[in-house]
Amino acid sequence: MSVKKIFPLIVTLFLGASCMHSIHQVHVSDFDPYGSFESGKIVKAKTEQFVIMGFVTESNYVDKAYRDLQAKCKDGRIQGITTQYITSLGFFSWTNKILMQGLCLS
Amino acid sequence: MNSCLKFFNLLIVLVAVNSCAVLHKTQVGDLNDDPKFALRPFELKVSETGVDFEEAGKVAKALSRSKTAQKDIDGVMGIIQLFQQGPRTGVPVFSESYAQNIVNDLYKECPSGRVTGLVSIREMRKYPVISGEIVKIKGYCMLPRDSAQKSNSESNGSPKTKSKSNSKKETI
Repeated sequence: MSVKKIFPLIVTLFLGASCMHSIHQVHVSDFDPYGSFESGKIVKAKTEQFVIMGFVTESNYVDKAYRDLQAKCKDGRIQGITTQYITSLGFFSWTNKILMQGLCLS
Repeated sequence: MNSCLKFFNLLIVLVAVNSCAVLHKTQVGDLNDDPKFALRPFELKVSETGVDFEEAGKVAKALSRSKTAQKDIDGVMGIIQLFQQGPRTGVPVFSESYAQNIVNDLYKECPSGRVTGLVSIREMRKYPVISGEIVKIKGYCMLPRDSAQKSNSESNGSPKTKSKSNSKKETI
């Protein structure tokens, strides 16, 4: 095969084999009780679940993200929580990710 | 004649696979219609370009003349598929963080944090080979009646739309 032909194939392979992602869902919770952006701070919690050929390694990663978010705003209230569910595709495996962000009002 | 036929076939393929908006998920929050506040609608949109390598492979195969090239493309596509395993919504994108700042954008849109009637939409604009993977948040910013009258006279009451794309300025 000539270089001219193989080069586009290598580029395609490089792009396609690099990590690609899929955002399944972005949910925004309610903002009640209302508080301004200045009156609080943004808190984040991110957890992952690695799946290899259908076998999962962490089955309570969503609960863990929820607990982490709660722990980051002790004695406070969290409003406007955005929850993102993402999958990073991979070689015979993939990683499910949960990202929760909100405004902690203390 | 032969090349004309090929071009015609390609056109048919393009038209056949072309579609427009595809809705994946939508969710609605509560709606506070407190008479002390006026509701100003807003819309936030972030998007990223998705690349469908499977479709790209099909197009490349349709365009290539030699059987060897078609075989090579098949091989490459097979390898790519091995590297892209997992559940997917829409077409995969190169960035996972394009929707991460949406919480900050929400507060920029409504600094008081008095937001209600939120609708979260995950949709896709599908084109041949590429797609626009969109996350859209619609809602209402609650403004006290007096300040709402001022802002209405300034903006003439039209919905405020803010769009952001990580790859290109305009959402595809």
